[in-house]
Amino acid sequence: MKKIFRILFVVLLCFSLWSCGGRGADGKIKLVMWIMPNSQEPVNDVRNVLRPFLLRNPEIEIEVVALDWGSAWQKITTAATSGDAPDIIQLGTTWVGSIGSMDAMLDVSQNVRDIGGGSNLFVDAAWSTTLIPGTERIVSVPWIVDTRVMFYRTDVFRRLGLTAKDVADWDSFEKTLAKIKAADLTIENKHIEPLGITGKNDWNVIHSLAPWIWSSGGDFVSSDFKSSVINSAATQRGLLYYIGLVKKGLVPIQCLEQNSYQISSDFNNGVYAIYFDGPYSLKGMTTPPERGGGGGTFVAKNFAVAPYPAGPLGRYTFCGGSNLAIFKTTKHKEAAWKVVEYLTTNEKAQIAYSQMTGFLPALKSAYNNSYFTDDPFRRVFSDALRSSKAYPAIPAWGQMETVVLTRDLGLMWDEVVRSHGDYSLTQLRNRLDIIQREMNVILTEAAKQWQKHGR
Amino acid sequence: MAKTRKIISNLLETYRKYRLAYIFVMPAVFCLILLHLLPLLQGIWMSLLQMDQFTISEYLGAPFVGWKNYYDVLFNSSSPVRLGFLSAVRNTIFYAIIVTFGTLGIGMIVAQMLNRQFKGRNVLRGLFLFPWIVPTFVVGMLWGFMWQKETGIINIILYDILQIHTWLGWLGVSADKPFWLMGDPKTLAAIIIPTVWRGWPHPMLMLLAGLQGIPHDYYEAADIDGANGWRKFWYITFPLLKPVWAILLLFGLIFNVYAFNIVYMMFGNGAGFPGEWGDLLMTNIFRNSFQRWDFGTGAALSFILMVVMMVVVNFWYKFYKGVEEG
Repeated sequence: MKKIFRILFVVLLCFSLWSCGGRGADGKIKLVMWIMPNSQEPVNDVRNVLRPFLLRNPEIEIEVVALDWGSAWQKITTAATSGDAPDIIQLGTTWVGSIGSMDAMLDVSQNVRDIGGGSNLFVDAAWSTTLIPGTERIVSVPWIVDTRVMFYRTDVFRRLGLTAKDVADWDSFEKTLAKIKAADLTIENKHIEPLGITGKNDWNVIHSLAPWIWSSGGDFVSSDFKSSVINSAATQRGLLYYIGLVKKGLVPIQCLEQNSYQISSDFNNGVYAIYFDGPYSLKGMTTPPERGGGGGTFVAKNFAVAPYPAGPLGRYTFCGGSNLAIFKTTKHKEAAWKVVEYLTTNEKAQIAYSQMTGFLPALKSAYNNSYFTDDPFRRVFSDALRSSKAYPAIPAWGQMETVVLTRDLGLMWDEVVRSHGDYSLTQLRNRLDIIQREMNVILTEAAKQWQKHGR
Repeated sequence: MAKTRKIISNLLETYRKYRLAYIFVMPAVFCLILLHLLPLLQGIWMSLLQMDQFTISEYLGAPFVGWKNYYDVLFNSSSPVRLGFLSAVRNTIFYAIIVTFGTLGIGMIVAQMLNRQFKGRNVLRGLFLFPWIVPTFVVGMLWGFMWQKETGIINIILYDILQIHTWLGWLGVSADKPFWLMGDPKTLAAIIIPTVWRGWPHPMLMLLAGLQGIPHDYYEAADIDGANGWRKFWYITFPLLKPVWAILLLFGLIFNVYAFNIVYMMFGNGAGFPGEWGDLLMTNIFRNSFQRWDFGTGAALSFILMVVMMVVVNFWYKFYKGVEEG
């Protein structure tokens, strides 16, 4: 009897080890894909996009698992260290530099070359996030893109005789905000505030400030990525302009403690005349309520989108989104690449997923589709991508974004509130000097370690 | 040699004597080693390694750097791990002490109330437990909205309904609705109040159980001696509840020093920075070490904190022994 049990145990062990290898009992290649909650039904949406691919590749089976952004950071690290990792993973573009430096992702440079890929295939800003600067190793492929534009109330603009041209540059933008404030409008029982922005209690702290920094000629790090340039005069000019909108009362000061969802929801409820947001909010406002959207409201019938106002040194907007990467530990490199290739380079798949999530496609050719060319709002988004910029995919970026920039720029907003409208250039300069010092410590150390351990 | 043999024979004799007890205790000891001691040793080992984003794939084989992580934490003021560390220590001390004594104080008052016989006592006892069953993540998120300047319910109650600005105006204090979550000392109050609100039912329950264990004769005797309510509390209730107090004090301090969820969620659901008066040790360590993938310094910081807490527990143990002997 004991002998039978022993044999059974060994057989079971063999079976379980065999299934860990990634082939099901039916001989299919089983892939695991980790994604983030990109839509209301993240898993179903990805499955639906993958359906045509799976019909053509019946030997592949994909288990889609949705993580949340908060825990993903930790889970990816655990996966990278333990080897118990999925085959394919969605990486936020600002994570690529840090996670790429972990040496846990597969080098897909050759695969990308084989499909003739590169900046010719993908949106420029998204493409710039696929590899660590200074290396030739591509560790991720652009999948979805997020960029920001201005949402404004057409009814308010009509009443005051304003057009999109009146928000085309910083000067006219500020004058327009002042005009809206002076008009003291109340529409649909809501007093109209000129502009809604987020301050510190939000995941967009840096993304909201970046366009103003870039448009005034400033930046976060030098062009050789060796040092921080955040305390430059240009950055100070950009930030002072933006903070000035708060100081002048063109932004209700309570905005500074609210998050993006609140500002977006307040715009849709008729509180603000203008705010800045991404393509998913366009989808939200144009989706009828019976399908879970915010369409049908008074504001949803009276809004339009326009690009960011141009600053003294150009018009820039933030470009984020997500790339797809393959873990080195995958046992099915070819199959995993096939899935990544389909999701990132198949035009139909790109547009279908964009329709489901609201995010923009990373594939350039998708913008020639009537889904984008025939819709004036989506056209604004696709035009905005031409002037969009992504953060550098350097190994130190993740550390700087979380520990220094989010913290210190949050402290900047704290000081703005505490100064009761008297926030001065000296205060800003002191804050930026601190940020620069802290960024330089991280940049220097990361460059040293990258040189030592970078593979 | 003879001495060693004697020790071994003594050990064997003890084993034979208590064999059954040892066998029963063995699974617990095994689990303790497996789930507690090994991760602790691993944590200590990690604190001696340079385990960051560049070496994380080597895991426990990452480069050995000796005491460097401890040096960075304790003496290297330019290290990113030290960003906002001192204000986090200050906030944690205030937070842990005020929350622990606040929950104990409120818990004691409510326990005394519930220890009386009145109609609806059981219903009230159940209702009072409500804050304690709300998950800490939810508490943080809800209070994050409640503290907001214009739309938050707290300022609405204080300023729009109770009109406290008229009182504040007489006192010469600004009559504007305040920001609670924008990094000044009010932020500390904004993180302490929800934690006390959520935490007091637990000590209340424990103290109520303790109160119900005190023989009624003591109070009757005190009544005959003409003692008033305060005297009865001070000379009967308080000393007899000391063992419960002591345990609650220890649990409270440890729990509140390691507090994370409420503060983490209150500022933009984990996205924002709590500010110079809102950041606690755990949120600081989480951000500066683990969100930076610097597990080596994170482990060093955690180990230092553990040693500090061991010192606190040691002081508590001496106090507790005094209570027991008393």
